[in-house]
Amino acid sequence: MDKNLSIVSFNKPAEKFSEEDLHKTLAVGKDAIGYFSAERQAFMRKKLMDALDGKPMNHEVKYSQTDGTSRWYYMRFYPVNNQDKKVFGVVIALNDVTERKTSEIQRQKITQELLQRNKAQEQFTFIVSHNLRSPVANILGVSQLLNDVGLTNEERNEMINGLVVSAKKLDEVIVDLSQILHVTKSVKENEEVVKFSDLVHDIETNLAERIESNQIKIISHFSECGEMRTVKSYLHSVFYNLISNSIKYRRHDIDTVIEITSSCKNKQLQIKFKDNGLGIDLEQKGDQVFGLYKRFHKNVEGRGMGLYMVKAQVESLGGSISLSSKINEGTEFLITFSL
Amino acid sequence: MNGYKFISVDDDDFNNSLCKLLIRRTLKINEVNTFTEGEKALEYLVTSFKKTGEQEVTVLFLDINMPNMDGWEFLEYFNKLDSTIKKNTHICILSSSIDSRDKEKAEKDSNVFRYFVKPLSSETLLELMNDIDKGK
Repeated sequence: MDKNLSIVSFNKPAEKFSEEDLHKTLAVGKDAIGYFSAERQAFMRKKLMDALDGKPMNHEVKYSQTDGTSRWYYMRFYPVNNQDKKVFGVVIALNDVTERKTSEIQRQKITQELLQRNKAQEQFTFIVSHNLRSPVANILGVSQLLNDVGLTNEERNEMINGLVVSAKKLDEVIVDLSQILHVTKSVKENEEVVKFSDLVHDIETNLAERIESNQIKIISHFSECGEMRTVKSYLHSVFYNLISNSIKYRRHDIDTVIEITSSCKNKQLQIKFKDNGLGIDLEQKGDQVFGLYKRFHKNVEGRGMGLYMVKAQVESLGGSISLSSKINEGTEFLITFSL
Repeated sequence: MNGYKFISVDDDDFNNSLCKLLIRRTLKINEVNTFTEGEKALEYLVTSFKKTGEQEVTVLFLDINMPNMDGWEFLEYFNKLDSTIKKNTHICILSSSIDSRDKEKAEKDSNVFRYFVKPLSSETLLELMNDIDKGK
């Protein structure tokens, strides 16, 4: 390109790149900027002008192909000097680095997956050594004491009751474990288009009794983004856990309102769950909110499983979840999926 | 075994009962104070010390994994208490955890006297009282 960014010459590979990636035929004398897509033109102009000023540039860039695949290029702009060492033009050089880039991305994905698995393994070890061990320890303790002939009837009954409770707890932890292991498996199969309003409607029916007797208002706005392709049972469980948590941890002195809204922008789909309930002290317990068997309200029944499962399920669907909360004002969960 | 006070802190109240019964059967001591929340146990230590200005030798069994204040947080707060309370309270971690990292962490804390894995047995209890008697 000369100083006006008109094409002076090109080689065969450049011609091929232009046909396949830019879908335009290169021709001498044409304005180079016009070959790039509308949203990249300003950027390219600036960088080419910079190169003319003596500042070379390089970057990696992705171009979509007509067949739906994409290729990666290592793109360089560098100035060309004449005999007087004056810049009289600029060269664009491209190297196809698709193979390296693809394996790099693949490697990142594998690393991510390994980290995820590692975390799951840690979590699993924790459950085994703490939560599974706990009822077992109680059962062992009881069996020792039951051998003691000096126990009163009352003491003996207390021990037998404790034995029953511990056995039940043991079973619960085993059920939890199998659920957790199930979610941490990868799930690409069984995807379908799921309507958010259907999920909410279904959950309202399931929880009808609690919603009606406590006069809970659920408002939902899904007009902007009403559905997504996903694993229905997981998203259902996410909605169910968040809604039932809002009911469980509601304030009793005001009417409970749960708002669920969805939005689509910047290639992201976001679903927001907002309530006016008890809230969680995030400064103190923020890092534990999604932890397994972590609980934040003493006087409400719960096992500390719900939010752990919500996070695990959102993540296995490829999304992320965050929250903001204030004590006695309410909690807001934000789920984000990239489109 | 007179002159000893016993406290058990565990969110699992059944373990508190187990502990209480074992102490009663093994040491013939009937009074064991049990708490399901660490905060309450700390409060109890402080108020009973304030009342008398002195403190009997106390054996305190402490669970690690508890909601709200867990065993580690309990130890942090305990460390800020009056030195008389600290000197006369023997904290024994009583955890169901078989994770060796918990034990290592507990042993680094100078306020932790012993680390036991649940369930507590009469043999362990007798040995413990023997050690405390010898001033170990």
